[in-house]
Amino acid sequence: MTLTRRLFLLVGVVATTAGLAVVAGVSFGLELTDIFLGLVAALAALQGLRYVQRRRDTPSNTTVTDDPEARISVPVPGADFDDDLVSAMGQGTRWAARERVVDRLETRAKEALVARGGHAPEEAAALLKTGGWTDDPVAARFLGASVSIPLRQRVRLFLSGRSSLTDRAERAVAAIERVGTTDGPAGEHR
Amino acid sequence: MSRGFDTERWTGLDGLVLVAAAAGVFTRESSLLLAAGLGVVVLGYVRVAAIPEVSLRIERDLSDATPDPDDEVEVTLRVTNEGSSTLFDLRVVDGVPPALGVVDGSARLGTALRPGATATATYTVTAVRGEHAWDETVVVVRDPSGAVESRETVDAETTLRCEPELAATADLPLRGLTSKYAGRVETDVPGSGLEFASIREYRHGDPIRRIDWNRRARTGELATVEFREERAASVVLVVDTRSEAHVAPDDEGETAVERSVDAASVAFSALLDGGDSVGVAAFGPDECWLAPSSGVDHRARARRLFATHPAFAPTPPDGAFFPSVAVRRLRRRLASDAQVIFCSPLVDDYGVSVARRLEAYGHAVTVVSPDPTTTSTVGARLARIERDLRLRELRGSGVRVVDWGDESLGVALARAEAGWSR
Repeated sequence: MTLTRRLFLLVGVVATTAGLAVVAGVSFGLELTDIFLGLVAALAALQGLRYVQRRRDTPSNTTVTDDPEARISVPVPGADFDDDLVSAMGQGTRWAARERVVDRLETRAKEALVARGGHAPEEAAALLKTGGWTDDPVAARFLGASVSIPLRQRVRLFLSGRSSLTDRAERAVAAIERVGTTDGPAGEHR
Repeated sequence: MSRGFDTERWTGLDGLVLVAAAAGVFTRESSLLLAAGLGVVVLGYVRVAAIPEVSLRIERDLSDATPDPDDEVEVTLRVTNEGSSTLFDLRVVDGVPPALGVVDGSARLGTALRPGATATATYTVTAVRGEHAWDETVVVVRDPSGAVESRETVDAETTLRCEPELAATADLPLRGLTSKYAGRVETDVPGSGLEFASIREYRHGDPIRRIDWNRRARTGELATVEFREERAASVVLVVDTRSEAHVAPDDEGETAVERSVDAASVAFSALLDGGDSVGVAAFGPDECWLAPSSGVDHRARARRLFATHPAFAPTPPDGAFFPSVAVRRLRRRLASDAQVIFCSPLVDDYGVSVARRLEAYGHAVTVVSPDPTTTSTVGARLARIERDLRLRELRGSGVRVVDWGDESLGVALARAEAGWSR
């Protein structure tokens, strides 16, 4: 028990004894005037509000159990990429995550151009640089090509609200999916 | 009697008591002061509240302790208060094994329990392959006011063992690498067999049955017919059980490891029936090795291994894993003429490198890859592309690949085989 608590305890005991004494008829020269009562009430209200405030800062402390009914959940393939996309849009971890996203897409685009598009690795790298590997300028630009997006398309993108990192990554993934199929410009190399 | 821990449920009541008393004094309203007095009584109770000694007996009964896969098993949990005091607020949460999902009922119980009384909870789980032990049951007891709480665990050992029969539902074609024993894999080695291979000059000691008598009649020369020799293969089924392989397309679906083990058990049975000697290995933190062999005992051993070995459990492993050490160890164990069937979802590049390395060391490798990818998110679509690229890379380096999607393994094998023979 700390010294202050001891002191408060002493004050409390003295006050209670004095109160009982007053009830028994002993007078300490204190009259139960309105001012005195008002003072005691104000003190009590103040302390009461302090306690109520403390309640608001105290979380309840009960046992929380997990869900044993559910089967153990394992990740879905690609969940790490989705996590990277989320952190690339958050504060703090933004740049590192963004770099990981672009690097991974770039590597896979290159591999897809080699494996499915039938290009040599150097050709694939050059295609990525020029943006000639896809007909989607947004995807090409996202993976480092210096292609310009027509103003009309840019305005449309801006107005549709689909210009976030996730949307651009999605378009890049869709473009990689098309590599080597007949839909994409790399199709003729199949 | 134990105090447990405070739940902080009544914290702040002292504040309300003081505020009510103050309001009573201000307004000279006696009812407010009386309410404050009641509050003081409650505070006093909360201060002395305690939890009686908890002594519970928990029994768990399974409607079937050794079910077949996908069978529904009813679990009955009986909780008996063996202590001498009434438990006013008892909450029980059963420790259902992580690999089992509750499909009906609830694995929880909330009740008050007099001394000697028993409460029962019933729920149903769906059995999956493996040996599943129930975890400790969590018991939460509170005093009637909810001011104090205690958490305890009670153990009731229960194990559900689901050992599927090894059934050869699909026939797995093997590659040309064989052992010296007779079997069903047709080799390019000329000798005795069924399929015609060539005719050569007669050598002294050749069996008389294999002499080409037509040719003898026509030309007068002795010649010996040779067939493609059929030999048995020695096959090791390697299942990728690394934590990376524990992936699934959704929360409900089978994980890739479960499907890999299914594929391995089907292949095991099919190969054993075909006269090959088959072994099993796990490529993951939990070590598992069953050397290639054949026979009834071997089949029984493998069946138990697939069902109960911790390496093949449907839950991800926690131990540290050093993949290059594991590859070296696997290589040391593989006989030089052993083929490898590698069951892996190929969701990371290391699976590819394992298959390629084993192929490079001369073990003819066939990869059976259950497809756990979806197209639900951008990441999932990228993962599907990446897996497709890995399969291409493997095929390009001469490894046979069976891409096993949602269809049955037999269908996937037939489709893959059509591609190989082209």
